[in-house]
Order: sequence, then C-alpha cells, then structure tokens
Amino acid sequence: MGFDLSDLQALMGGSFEEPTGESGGVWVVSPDGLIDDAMLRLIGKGRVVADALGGYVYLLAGCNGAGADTEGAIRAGADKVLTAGGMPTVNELADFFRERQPQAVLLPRNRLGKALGPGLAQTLGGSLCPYAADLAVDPIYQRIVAHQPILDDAARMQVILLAAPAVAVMETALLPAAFNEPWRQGEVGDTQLMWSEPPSHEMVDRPARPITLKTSPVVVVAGQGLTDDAGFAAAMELADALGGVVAGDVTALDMGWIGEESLVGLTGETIGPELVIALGVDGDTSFMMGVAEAGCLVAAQADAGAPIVPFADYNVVGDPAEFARAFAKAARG
Amino acid sequence: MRIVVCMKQGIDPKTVKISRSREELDLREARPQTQPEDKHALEAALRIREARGGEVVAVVVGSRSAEDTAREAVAMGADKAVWIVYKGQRSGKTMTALVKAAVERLGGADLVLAGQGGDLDTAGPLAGRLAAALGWPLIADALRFDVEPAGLYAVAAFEGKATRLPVVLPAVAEVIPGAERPRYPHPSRIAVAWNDGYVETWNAAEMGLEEEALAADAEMGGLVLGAERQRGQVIGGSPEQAAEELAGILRGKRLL
Repeated sequence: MGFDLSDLQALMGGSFEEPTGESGGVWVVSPDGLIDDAMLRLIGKGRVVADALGGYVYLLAGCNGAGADTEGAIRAGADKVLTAGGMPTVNELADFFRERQPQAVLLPRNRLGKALGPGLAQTLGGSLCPYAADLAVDPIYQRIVAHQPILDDAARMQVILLAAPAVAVMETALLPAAFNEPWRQGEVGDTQLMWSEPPSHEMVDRPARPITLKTSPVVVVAGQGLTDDAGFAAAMELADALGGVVAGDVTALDMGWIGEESLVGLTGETIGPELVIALGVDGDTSFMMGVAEAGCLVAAQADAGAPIVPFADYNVVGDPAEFARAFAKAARG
Repeated sequence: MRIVVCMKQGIDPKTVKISRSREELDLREARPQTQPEDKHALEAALRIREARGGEVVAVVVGSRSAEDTAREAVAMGADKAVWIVYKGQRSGKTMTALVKAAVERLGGADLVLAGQGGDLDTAGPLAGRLAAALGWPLIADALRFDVEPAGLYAVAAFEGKATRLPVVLPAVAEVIPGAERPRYPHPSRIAVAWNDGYVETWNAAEMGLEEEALAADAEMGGLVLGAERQRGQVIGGSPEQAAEELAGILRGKRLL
C-alpha cells in the first residue's frame, strides 16, 4: 500500500485536495496592491487560520497588483494570488465576495482597511472585528475568534465572530514575523475585474491639536538631579526630540524651571501619557501618584537607591543631563 | 439641514481594572461616561450648524444610564436627542440597525456623524457600517468640516497629512479628534437639558425592528492576558550606551 505526501498531510489535519475553485477559504485583501512586510505578516496569519479551518488562503490585490511581491506572498502562505485593476469600493468588494462566500476576510488596519472592513461586513451580513491583534479558531465550533486589544493593549478581549464571513481589520504591527517558506507553491491569476480608479486628493495642512501636559503622549519631567540650567536645557532638548512637553516635580518648581501649570504630582497635574521620562527625579509619593497612570516610566538619576527605581519600568543610573543629551541624539536616529 | 450624531455611552477606561487571578475585567468601580470620541463628532456637527443653520439630533442607544448621554448631548448644544432604550448586547450590527431605523423614523438626515470606537466599545466604529446600510458615501477620518458658499467640505486625515474633499450629501462621516476640542456644556444648557421635550425615548419595537434584525454578529469571550508588567529594570553602561539600548527597547514597544 502506497503512502505519499498527500496521506501525510491528511494525517496531520491538512487537506490534500488541490485548489479547484475560489469559494470559501481565507481571503487577504490588499486594496492598493501593495505587498509589504505588513501584508506578508497578514498572509501568514491567514495561513494559520486557514490551516485550522482546513481551507485555502487567497490574496486579492488591487491596482493590478502594482508593487505586489507575488512570490513573497506565496512563500508567506498564500495558495493563490489574484489581481484586479483599480481600487475597490465597498460595493465592488462585496460583489466580488458574494459568490465566493469566504469564511474570513482579512484587511490591514490602515486607511483603506478601516474604510472598507465595516462596510464589507455590513453588506455581506458577516461579522466584524474592527481592531484585531490576533486571530484563532475555536477547535470545537470552528468559529473564528479575534483578539481585540483593550486598555492600551494591557489585555486582549476575545471577540467570537458568529456570522460568515468573519471580517477582521488587523493591526499588522502586532502580528508575528512573516513566514518565508520557499517550498510553498501557489498560483497567480487575474480576476479580469476593473474597479474604480483611486480618487485624486487635494492635500492640505493637517490641523494640529494643541499639545498640552494632559494631551501629550510623551512627557519629560525635570527634577533637582539636573542640578543647573544647563541640565534643564538638556531636558528641553529631549522633549523636543521626542515631540513631547517638559514638566517638573516640586524641586523643579522651586528651582524656577517650570511654572505651577507644569507641576506633576498630587499638588499639580496627574498625568497618564504613553511615556514619561523622569530626569533627576527621586520619586516621592506625591510625584509617583502623579504619574501612576503612565504607560511606561523611564527614570534617569544618580542614586541607585532612589524611591523611583523599583517603580520605574526602566532605570538609567548616572548623570541625568548627560543621559538626556545622549537619548535625544539616539531618538533622532 | 439635519445632522444626526451617533453617540454611545461607554465605560471610563481609567475606572476599569484587570483581574489577573480571574482573567476578567474588574468593573466594580467602573463609571459610565459618554464616549469621548463621540463628543468630537457632536462638536463637528454643532460647528456646521453654527455656520450653516439646521438641526443637530443626537441618537443614543443604551439602557437606563444612557439617558445621561442623551441629556449631555443636549447640554452641549444638540437641538434634541433620541434615546433608544436597548438592553441587549450592543454589537456593531445591532447598533447599525437601530441607528438606521432611527434616521428613517426621524424622516431622514443630510449628514450622519459618528466617532471612532472607544477602548472598551463592543460595537466598534459605526460610520462604515452605517454608510453601507444607508447606501450613502463614507467620509473616513474627518478632522473638521468647512462650510463655504460652494458647499460643505471635509478635511480628512490622509497618510500623515490631510486632504480636503467636497461632501456630497447625504453622507456618513467618521470624525476623529482634530484641532477642535469638544465644548463644555454651558451651565444654563445643563439645566435646560433635563426639561421635558429635549429627549425622546424610543424602543426597537416602535421602530419596527424585530429580534432577528437585532441579533448580534459577534459575542465577547474571555480575556487574553500578556506578561505582567515588569518594573525596576536597570540599564547599565555609559550614557550613550544606555540611550541606544533604551531607544531600541522603546522603539520595539512603538513608544518612539
């Protein structure tokens, strides 16, 4: 009795049938035809989901696949790459998928993906996860489960997508590295479809939001460990390099470096930016309460035993002004 | 010109904790709040009305406490609010069906504005779904609207910059936070908002929606928790070496 690769694949839970049509399966859509590393990661996630469902992975690339690395897409897990002219609207994409009845449609979470995903799910009567960091398949019911980041990705909520197709708009930066499996084989084809031409845009300056201590994603907090005006200037230089604002603790207020409106702590402002860099700050209770909501706290000061050390995510023990200058240079890249 | 603004009541993320032992959200101290993203949409609508005239109607879906959001919308300046009492799960499909039915019951609208989905928002952003359901064009990532003699224009975020495009009405727009901050309610409006006549209370049955149309397309499962936050890490070396290492770490966390 013969035993070939097809039997081995079947034993491992895969399918040994060659793709004969384009129905069902997991579809990855690149509306502008670009296949970059982000799209390759997305194709890889599609591969994992398709393997769990026992289906195929199709890549649909608009704009005639301009800039599409079809070989790379196949190495990343696509069974078939299909191209189409122009860039699809929601209705055009829905018409394309209506007869193919995909199990899942994956879009990157960029401008186009965010615009197309919700409308596609609505038009096809499917289900939607508008912000997915990962996908899994429920092994019992074979339902697709999206993992949606919540609370600044402190946790991920499982969203069980009940209706088919499951449309997931995925944050590709959170996906693992793309597969690169040269032994994979796939087909490249043309749908012969001509979608709408991408609209031309009149570009204007983006209205800027005023950056304040409360709204800035990055806050550099100065403390007395900076010792002099030159040290405080280094803090300002770092804030400028990071696109953030300068604030201070009570000692910086006493030194006359900041005004009361920039005071961080229980007697000043309580802040919760994505990143706080505390320079020369010991970290008394008042200050620590003021930055308790910060996403990441970096402390640079001379005392390895300062109260801030066990609370900061990262510590640099040394001259904070020197570090600030070096970090500004490193941040500017 | 009638502008409908979709508003939702969510939970203030700062009042939510994660219970690692039970692997679930600890909502014991959770406080409801009007989703800040939706206030940006309301602000955009109010500015259009101030420049062009018309009516701003806030549509709020939710259970009992959602009335506060409807009243807050009136206090901020909406001409009236419709509070759709709905106690079921607020999935995107359900919310879209309810808001679409409300727009139709209002006698239509020229512009429907919605904010982005909030952090703990189970329904997600509604604008894309509503545009598809209503068959209207979608303006994504609108930062502000300009009212000019030639018509209404939207300034929308576009690949790090912004683009300006004419708004062909009727349309649906997703408003994202721009330069214009939502206004604080004036004290006199806060008092008025609780008077009769400003908030209409509807329900799904009144709008002719059956259970099937409101069935959720997704349901929430458990939490997936990452590694616990590690604190107190010391980065050694010279200031330059420490700066390079830290920059690499922060870039990996997308904080730089």
